[in-house]
Amino acid sequence: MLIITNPTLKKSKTMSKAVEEFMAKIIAKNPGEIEFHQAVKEVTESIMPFIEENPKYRYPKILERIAEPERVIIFRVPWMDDKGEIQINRGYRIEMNSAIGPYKGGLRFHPTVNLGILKFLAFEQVFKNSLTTLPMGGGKGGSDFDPKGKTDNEVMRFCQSFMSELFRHIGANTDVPAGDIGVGSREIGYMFGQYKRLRNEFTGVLTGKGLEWGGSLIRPQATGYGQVYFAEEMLNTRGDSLRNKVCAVSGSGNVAQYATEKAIQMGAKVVTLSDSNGYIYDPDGINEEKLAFVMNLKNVKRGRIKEYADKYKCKYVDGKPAPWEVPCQVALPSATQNEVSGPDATLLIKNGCFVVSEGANMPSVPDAIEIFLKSRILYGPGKAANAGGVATSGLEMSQNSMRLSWTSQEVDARLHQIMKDIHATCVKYGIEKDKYINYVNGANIGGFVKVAEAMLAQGLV
Amino acid sequence: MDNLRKNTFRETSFELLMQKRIQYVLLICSKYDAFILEEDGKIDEKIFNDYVSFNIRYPPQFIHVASASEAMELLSRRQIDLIINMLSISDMDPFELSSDIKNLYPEKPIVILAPDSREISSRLKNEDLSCIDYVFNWLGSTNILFPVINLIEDKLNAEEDNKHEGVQSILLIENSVKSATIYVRHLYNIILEQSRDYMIEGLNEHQKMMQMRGRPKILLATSYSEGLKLFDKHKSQLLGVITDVDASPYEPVSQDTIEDFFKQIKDHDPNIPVLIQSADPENEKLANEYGNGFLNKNSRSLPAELKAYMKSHFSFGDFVFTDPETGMEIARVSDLQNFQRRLFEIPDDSLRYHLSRNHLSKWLYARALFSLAEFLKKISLDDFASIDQARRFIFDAIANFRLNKGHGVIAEFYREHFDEYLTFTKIGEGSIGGKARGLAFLDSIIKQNQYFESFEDTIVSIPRTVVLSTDVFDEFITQNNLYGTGLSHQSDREILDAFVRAKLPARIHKDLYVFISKINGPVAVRSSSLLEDSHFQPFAGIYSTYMIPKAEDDVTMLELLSIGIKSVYASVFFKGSKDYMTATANLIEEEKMGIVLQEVCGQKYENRFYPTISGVARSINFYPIEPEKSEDGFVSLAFGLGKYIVDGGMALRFSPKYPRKVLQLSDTKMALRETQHEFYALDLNPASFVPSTDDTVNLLKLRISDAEKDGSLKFVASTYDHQNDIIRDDISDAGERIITFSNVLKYDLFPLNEILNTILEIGQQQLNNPVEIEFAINIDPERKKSVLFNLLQIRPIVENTERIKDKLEEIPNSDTIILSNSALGNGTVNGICDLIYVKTENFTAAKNQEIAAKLNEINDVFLKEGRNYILIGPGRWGSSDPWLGIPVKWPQISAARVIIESGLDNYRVDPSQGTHFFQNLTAFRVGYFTINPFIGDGFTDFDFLSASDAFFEDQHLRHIRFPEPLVIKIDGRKKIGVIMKPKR
Repeated sequence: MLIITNPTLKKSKTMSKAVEEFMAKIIAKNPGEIEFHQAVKEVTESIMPFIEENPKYRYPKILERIAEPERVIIFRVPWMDDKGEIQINRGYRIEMNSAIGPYKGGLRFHPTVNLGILKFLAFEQVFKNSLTTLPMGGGKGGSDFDPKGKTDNEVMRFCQSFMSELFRHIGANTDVPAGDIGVGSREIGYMFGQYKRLRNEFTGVLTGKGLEWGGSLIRPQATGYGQVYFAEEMLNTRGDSLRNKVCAVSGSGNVAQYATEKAIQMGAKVVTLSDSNGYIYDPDGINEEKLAFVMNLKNVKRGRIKEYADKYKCKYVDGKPAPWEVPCQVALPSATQNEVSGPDATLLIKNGCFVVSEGANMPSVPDAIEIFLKSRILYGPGKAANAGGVATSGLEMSQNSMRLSWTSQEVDARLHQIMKDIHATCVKYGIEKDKYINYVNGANIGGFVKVAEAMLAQGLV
Repeated sequence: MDNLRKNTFRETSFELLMQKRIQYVLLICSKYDAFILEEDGKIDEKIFNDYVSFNIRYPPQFIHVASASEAMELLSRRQIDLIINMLSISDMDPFELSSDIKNLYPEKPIVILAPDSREISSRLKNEDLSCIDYVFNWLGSTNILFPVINLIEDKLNAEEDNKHEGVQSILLIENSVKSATIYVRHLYNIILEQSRDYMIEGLNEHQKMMQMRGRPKILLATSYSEGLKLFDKHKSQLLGVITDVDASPYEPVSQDTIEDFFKQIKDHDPNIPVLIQSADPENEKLANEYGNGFLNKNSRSLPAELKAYMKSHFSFGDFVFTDPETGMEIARVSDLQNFQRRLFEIPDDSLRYHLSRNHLSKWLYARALFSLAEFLKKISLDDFASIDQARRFIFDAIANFRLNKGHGVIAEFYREHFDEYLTFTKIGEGSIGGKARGLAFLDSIIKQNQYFESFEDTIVSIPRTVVLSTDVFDEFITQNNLYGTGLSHQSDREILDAFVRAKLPARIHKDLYVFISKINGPVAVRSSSLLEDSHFQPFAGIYSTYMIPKAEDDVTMLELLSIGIKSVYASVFFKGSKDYMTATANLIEEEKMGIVLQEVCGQKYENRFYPTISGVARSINFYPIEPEKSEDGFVSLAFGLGKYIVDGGMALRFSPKYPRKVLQLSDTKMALRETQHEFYALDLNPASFVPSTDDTVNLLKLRISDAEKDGSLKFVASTYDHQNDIIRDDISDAGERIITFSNVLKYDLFPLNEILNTILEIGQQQLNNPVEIEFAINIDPERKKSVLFNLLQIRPIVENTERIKDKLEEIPNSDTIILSNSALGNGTVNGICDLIYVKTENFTAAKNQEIAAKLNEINDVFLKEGRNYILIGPGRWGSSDPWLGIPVKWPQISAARVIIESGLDNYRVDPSQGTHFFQNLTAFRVGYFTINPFIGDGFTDFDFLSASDAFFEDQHLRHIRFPEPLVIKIDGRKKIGVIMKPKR
């Protein structure tokens, strides 16, 4: 989603004017692409002060250049449905920026896909990928094809037609698409099959592949693990660690399960999990056995979290899908968007919480973020803390390049290191005069700087 | 040898037999003769009694005339089917009259009834009798008339009936009038007695009556030449030949001719029995020479001997298994059911003997079981490797025949004859009620359409059903004085207890015992009331249905069954039913309840019982997603008992025309979220069934994962591969099971869609209305049995199929607030005064989150007040991506009755067709409109809305409350929806 606006950043009149002028040009050059305008505006508001302080980025018009895709490919995708009727969709690939590595970004198959949306997503992807510290540029693509309600064969025919054009523009060292909305393992499989056939080569041209044919281990765990690694790094800046810390985790899906697993491994005590019906509070902490129960409950039996409370005789609070009223030191929002409200944030802090590491996308509303930052707690925004998923894509590319499959321990170790590096970047660019680390700013600026430096080094291209 | 498959047997169309009937008989005789006849009893009455005693309908009427002129005049002006001339008129020579009549009316049969006198005989010898069909002696009584009428009818119908249906005939060659009279009388008595006996094969009164029409016919030849012609014509359908060999004054016939005739018969079929009847005892040698029977015409015990011969040689009466060596009787069976039961007791030699002589098929022919007879006639011992194989084959043939016969028929419940071959039987005399009628109708559809028999491994049928008709209910209520209790204001529990304490009518106990002894699994006790029959009052779900597990002993089972029956009776008087009666303007006193007792489709898994698949199919769909059309219909499938669907669970929904397009399986997240997580099964512990107003008292609600060890998931479930985020269409690996029915819908495990498409089409055609069908399917995990597809109910869809008469597309925009050309739902939506819309000026998708939060608050108020509203907004309602639409969840807008997605000039989002809320839209019948005014698709009058006073307004939303409800119409067939402006 969008880069979170830093609500505490004081804008000078000059700054606002600079942003306005910049945006006026963007809007004029990209009429009607409101999502793209919004995305650029939010980044610009965040970055402009930094640019103003560092004129070496201003003169070469780095921001203007970042905001202009290196290449936009739009193409026709004709295919035949099961009834024999010919369908025609439009395919896109926005190759936004390759300063730090080959383009990298997902493909989205959704009827709402259009140039504006993809450019906005591609624009964000540049910074997201940069933050991972891996050599990945930014890109995004997709089609207005709607996989909903289509048969397997129709999806396959579409994917094959899509790749029949796209293949000439992508490659393991050029552009490496991945999955996104509407593009899962099935679609990746079909597209990879077609690419391989057309190119007569087996390369890491797509990520999100099946384990049996080049995919990486740890993919489902990556976001949750990364979120906890980031929390640990944040704590380390204060000479502290997760050991013995009481953690409140929301959700009970993938991210929450693996965040809990990693937190337990790192010595923390996780006391809550939740689902849409309510949350459990286990003051004794969730151990490995209990976590295994949760995984079985959720992944196999498809039960409700209340059954944990029934089995382990602990408290269940019905009707509250988020556990933020439970006293904790570390909050790991891992459920969904907007699950941490302003009052939640206040209550968390009141109850002693001083670390928030976001595993979900935008779980904290702007008011909550403002409260976290004002309170000077360790707040790790999703774009940094949940970058584990994106990072694992990069690790898949690495394995493909080496023609090796790492063990889960090896992937985990590399993931850990990446999260440390992300953290370090955030610290470098987010530390304020009073030594408070504003991770929001740190993430935004850190992501920008790496790309900007590379662009400067590579000349006017 | 063809494979013996179910329902191989062609149905005999008995109603097509005996099409030509004698309805009016003209009796030409003197008044004196008429008087003598009447003295014997009025002719019409006598004939009527004869007909009734043999269960034949439509006796003819007799019209008497005493003169030739009267006869001619009558013939000229009215229908006469047979003329009997008694040679006693005076105004014209009777033979001349006969000749004149024949010239004018060559198709009308003429029979002479004449006294047995030398004068008459002499006269007959000299007359030209070519215009006369038959001459018989009249010995002063009317007992010749019945056989004469039958004989004429046989003559008229023999050719047609023999040709098309295989009706058998007996050829009687007799040139003596006197002998012919005697034989004809006796033969018809024997035949009609036989047909009365085999009526037992008929499953109900109607079938019994109809089967009578298949009785053997008598073909009378009065000369050898005529006899030879008749033999030639009918030799393939002859039960036997009875022939005179005595010299005839009319037609001298040589011995050689006679012997040639015998040889001809033997050459054609050595098993055709021939009975020689002669006044000369010497002719017995002739009979023995050819292996024929012999009957002395002058024998005093002629009728008994004739009957005995016909029983033994024409296969009349019981089938007697004999020892071929000794001729001793080994066993005797009187009907097909008993034949089947005793077959495996018969010694090989005896069976071999009877099979080699086609005795079985002959016996079946004589009992008008033509298709089975024809089938078995073609087999011979050489076709089998062993006699046991032959035995098994015959058993299976009979089984299939009986099964086939039982389909499409409402059989009477005869305790002695009830067995597993009867599909649908009725106890009692009253109505069977709506549900039972629907079941019988389904059974007849299956029977009438050969298509349903064409599947190798799938059996399409209704479950075995016994219906207690409404008179049992009447008797129960009356005997136990329960009306007062039922109509009182007592609680449902009290009413139930009173009913359960009461006694069922004694007469049905034995019947229920027999029923219990023949079933192997649980029984569903379902209501089948008169009001459920009504086309326009959907009583579905109003009354209870109980499932009774099979108990170890019959006494317990009977007790449980009785409780179930009484509980269903009680449910007529529960509060819910009473309220519904009031709401539908019915009187509870007029309601009568039949009960359907039905074998439950499914399989036992330890202590549980459930079918592999339950489903509901509808022939019309008001929520079609492209490329579906409303007339394609839709299907909901669930694993386990169908209660899951009835309760609104997350069944898998798809169009039978596009079974591979399942919205719920579009991506892994949706598949995990929006498919079945639980299922229902019957608890097989009998103790779990106790009297309860809750008819689910003994149903278990289980997790899908609980079925893993049963092996039943393999046909219906796929597995979510967590690591690869993909769904695999098998359950070979561990992981989360998703009920996808992929094996059926994608890989055609069995032809579910074909069957559903066909049954929906036929049902809709025959009911002249969209239909809903319930079904259950059982697939044996070991695949040792065929897939069993049971149809459970058919009913017309009455709710929500209202046809919108107005042409909505012609309504001018100026009269509408909203017009959509892409509307889901159907009918008129009433009672909505409130409209909430997202303001379009300065709309920005960045605020979608805020809008969602505010809507949630507003919706809560509506829920508390019990009101509903229309909701209009840009983009895709429910989208998780706030850029694409307002990210509400269903509970946050659940009070909306019509939801409208509108694109804006600067916010072009393709319509979602409500896919985010699809389950909720269809479950709650919410209208869903999509409008894209920027491309001229649909219309919203925002100016009108802006000009209307707001009940509430903030920067994003506006709520208008109109003084009167808005007129909202949706034509689901054309997919057009309108919301009209209030009339000024």
